[in-house]
Amino acid sequence: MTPATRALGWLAVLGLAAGLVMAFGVAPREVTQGNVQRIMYVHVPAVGVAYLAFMVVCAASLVYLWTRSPRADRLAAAATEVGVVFLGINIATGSIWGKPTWGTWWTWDARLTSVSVVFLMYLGYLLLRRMTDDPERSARYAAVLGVLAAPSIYLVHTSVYWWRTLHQPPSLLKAGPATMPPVFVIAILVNFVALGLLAAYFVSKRVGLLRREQEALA
Amino acid sequence: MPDNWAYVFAAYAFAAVVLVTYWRHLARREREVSSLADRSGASRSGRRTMQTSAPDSRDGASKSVAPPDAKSNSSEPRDGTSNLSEPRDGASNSMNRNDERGRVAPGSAHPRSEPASRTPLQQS
Repeated sequence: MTPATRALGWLAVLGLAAGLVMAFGVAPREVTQGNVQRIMYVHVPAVGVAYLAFMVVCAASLVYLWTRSPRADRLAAAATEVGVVFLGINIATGSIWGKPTWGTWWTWDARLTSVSVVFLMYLGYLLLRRMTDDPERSARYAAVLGVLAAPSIYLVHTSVYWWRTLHQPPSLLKAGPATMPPVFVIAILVNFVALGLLAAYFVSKRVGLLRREQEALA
Repeated sequence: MPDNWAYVFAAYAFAAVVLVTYWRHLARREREVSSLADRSGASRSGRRTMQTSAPDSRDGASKSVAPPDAKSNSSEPRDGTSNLSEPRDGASNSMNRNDERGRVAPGSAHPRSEPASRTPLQQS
């Protein structure tokens, strides 16, 4: 592990501690939802980090298709894996929040359905990488899927505008002034930075592992 | 509205379990890759030794390329199972026994059983 990766890991630990303090110590109890709203401090940052990871996948896949650089391929593979982990956390924590708030664990509304489709698409990406024996062909197929899957993130984000959904519209990533009190916004942002650092640590570690695996098998 | 602390803790616990599990998965992979790199490095250096010390092993000269007591060959599995390159039929076994009586048993640095001897050797 490189010193930069190790430093990222320790920064992530500090960030997570700060995020927990913000979520449980600083942010007040929300009037309408009660304390169950505190789930949002992990649910919303997790999807933000997953979106970022999938954008990295798209960019790295384009670079791979353009240059055939193994480094870009490794970055895309690592970012996909990490993005799937964080999107899984987002879906599960949303489901846990939905039970006391909506009265159901799951409903097939546009946001939940579209995010499930994205989750399955990136799981398919990981599966596709393991289905082909030829590493060059596997990387090429995966890069094409990494580029094609990226617009689905936009679809997830806009699904709450395009269709009538049970899921509420965005509170942060929207035009116009914020509708939340600043303390809630800050708590979400601190947790977003913390999970972002953790994701960067995971991606860095995974990229290093993929490189060493390829060197060992060469 | 009730506070539903159980749901809050369940959500945070789930996230923590997933993240710790993934982190441990990466740590395990790191250990596996380290051992894989060690093994492949050792076998590469073993092959290099073979190539430099036994240049004419193709024509049956079968010079001794390792000490006769070299049991810990890098190409052999570590769990004590037999090497896949060893012949398994009875005739071959009798040949192996003859070889054992001679110099070196196949699979333990014998030129004919080593992967490096299956491709043309580089002339040094």
